Amino acid sequence: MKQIQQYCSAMDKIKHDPACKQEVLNMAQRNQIHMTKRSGKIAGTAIAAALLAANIGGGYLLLHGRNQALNPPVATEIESEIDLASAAETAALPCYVSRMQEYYAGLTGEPCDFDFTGLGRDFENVSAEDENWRVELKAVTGCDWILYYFYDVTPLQGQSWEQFQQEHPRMEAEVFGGGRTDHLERCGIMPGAEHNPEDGAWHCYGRVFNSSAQPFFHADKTFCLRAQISTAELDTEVTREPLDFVSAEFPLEESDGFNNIFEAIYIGQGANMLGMDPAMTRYAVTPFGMNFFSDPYESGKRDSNTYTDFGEQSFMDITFTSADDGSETRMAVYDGIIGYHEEEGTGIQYSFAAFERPLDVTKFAPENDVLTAEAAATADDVQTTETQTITEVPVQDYEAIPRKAPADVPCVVYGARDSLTGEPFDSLTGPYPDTTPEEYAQFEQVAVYSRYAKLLVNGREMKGIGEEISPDENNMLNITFAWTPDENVKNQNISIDILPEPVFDDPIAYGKSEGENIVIIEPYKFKDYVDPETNVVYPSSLPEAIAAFKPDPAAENCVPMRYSMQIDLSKVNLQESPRGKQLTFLVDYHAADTSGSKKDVIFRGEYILMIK
Amino acid sequence: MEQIYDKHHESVYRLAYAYTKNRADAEDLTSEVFLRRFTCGKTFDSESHETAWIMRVTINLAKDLLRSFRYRFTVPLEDADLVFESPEESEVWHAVMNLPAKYRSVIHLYYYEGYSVAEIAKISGKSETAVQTQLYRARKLLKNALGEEFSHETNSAILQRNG
Repeated sequence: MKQIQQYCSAMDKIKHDPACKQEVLNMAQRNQIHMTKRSGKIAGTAIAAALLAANIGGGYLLLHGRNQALNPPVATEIESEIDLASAAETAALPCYVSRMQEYYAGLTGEPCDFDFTGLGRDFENVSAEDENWRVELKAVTGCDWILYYFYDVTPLQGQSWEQFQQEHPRMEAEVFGGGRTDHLERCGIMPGAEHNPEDGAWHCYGRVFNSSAQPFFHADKTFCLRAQISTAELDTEVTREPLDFVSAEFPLEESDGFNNIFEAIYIGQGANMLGMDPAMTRYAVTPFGMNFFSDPYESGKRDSNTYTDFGEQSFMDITFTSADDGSETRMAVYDGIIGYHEEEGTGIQYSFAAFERPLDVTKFAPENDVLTAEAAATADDVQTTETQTITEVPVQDYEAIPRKAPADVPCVVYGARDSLTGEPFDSLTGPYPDTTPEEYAQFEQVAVYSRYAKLLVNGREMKGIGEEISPDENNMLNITFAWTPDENVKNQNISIDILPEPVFDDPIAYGKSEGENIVIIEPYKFKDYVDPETNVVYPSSLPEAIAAFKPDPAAENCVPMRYSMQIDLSKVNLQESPRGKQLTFLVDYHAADTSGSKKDVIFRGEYILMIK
Repeated sequence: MEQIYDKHHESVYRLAYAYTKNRADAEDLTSEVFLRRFTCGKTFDSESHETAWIMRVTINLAKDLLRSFRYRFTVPLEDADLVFESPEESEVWHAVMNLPAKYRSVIHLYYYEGYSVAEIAKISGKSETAVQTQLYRARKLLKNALGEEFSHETNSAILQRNG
């Protein structure tokens, strides 16, 4: 008899090594001393430097690169998070500090008390409104490489969260200066924010990445914010503000070169966007993230800036290692961009990785300011040059190019089934016993969608979990995802995210890199289906699309989408199970509006294939 | 500090192990959890709040690790030094260990640690419905892997643990 208790009895045999106890207690005591020092109760530069190193770095080790040129930390600037937290209790924080803390807390689910004082500015009465919405810019914070700005959206007609989502009133931002423009990357409701307006307004954020090798401030940029309210077609520039709070506090350092940074970002492609892989020999670390730059290289292009983002919740993280005791601080990279900037025959490759939580780097003195000087000179040269900005969708390896299916491809293939048993969903009493009527109605609509999606592996349709499949003679699995939405859905950006093992629902990519075992899967966004006559995307919301959905696979407006790819099983790290080796992944089907912000998953397919 | 460590370290370590499936990472996670506990400066209303906080931090750190670049590209080998009482125990153990991490964790918290669905929801920051769904799916997966003879019904030993 196999019982769950047998798991418990086996787990009882897993014992924690008693030797760990003293080690942990000693480390904790050191850390307490460290914090005492940082609050200024102990004097002495040497001690402070050592204690700092014990925290997050008297030096860095990052990926395969190692920085050896870093100066020791500056003891006199050391401050304590604890002191700052205490101070916060007695004095009102600037808006940009509290909002940045709110942002990170929403992102990680943990309180953030990092002090951003001096790294931003607040605004008063910078707003735009129409009869429905008021959008007010509250604050901006950031560094030379990334800016976060915060704004409030107030419903003037008592609109609901659903209406907020549909109409998406927002503030978009651009950074002008030096003949170059950096655009908004993302904006929207604060991570983890409640669906009800806070103090009568939704707290929102926007983010601008620096898409070049030129620092924001050093090229004397002007920060220009534009308010756009999509429903009223209001597109009003509300302010232009200098980035006077951005300073050279986080300058560029030199390193031995982070040769694998692009591999880390584009696993499996073997080469980056340039088809070359110059070492990233310079970098800047700020509380918000880390920026990498290559040495200049010769380029045939006169003026070009090409970049792409590598997605929220990307799979890379960066480890900072103390030169003193080797302790590590691992910073998850939440989002970022990668690209190259070319001017007058010279190019620089760059990448910015935004941290999921702030990093205290204020103690690290700069070794040099190489790129700052170069960037300033370059900016003078291009004052009158028009910059060409191209945003590229990452090209996938494996020739996984989505295409419209030929007209004779059958559309209706996949029923809404229990992913575990393969049985049709007739009721929700089993897996979802607490479903509310609203959720039930939503689920029914989702189930309708899912009936029009299918997964084919080596030409065979997969219907559930645990199906056995054999690779072809070349040890390949030929996988095709197909989905046939109707007209209401085709007017939206449709995307399919394919996720490996259903661990945390993060869209992550497996890949192949230098002999490591990986599956290659990346999200892919399908084309826009914007009405060519009106240039309007409608219905603008997922709920509307669901409500209007009347699947008719025979109709002309039914646009089947197919996404085919191959998985080489010799490169795949299959999971072991009592029944044999298995490959597990999820497929999420999304709809999004033209802002690029992904809306709710419409439905999800979950597959565990037993490989024979 | 020592008292807190003694009270929770085995639970933290085993939960970390349930996520990472290897001792070295579980030990690292356990150390980090207690370092955070001892340096966070928090005070808790009750022991149960403190326990929930510690378990939640364990889960968050374990998730961070599983998401990390290093972990994804160096899949750890499962420890092979466990001696099982029977082939069935080995099968059940490996079936649980082969579940996706989110299912492993909910199985561990529910059956091993004896937390209720509501408590797991609080610890993991999920809704109770989501926890129930994960439990349901985890049991189904175990049934699928172990066959119809598998039973997830708890006996008095588990109830005692829960109590």
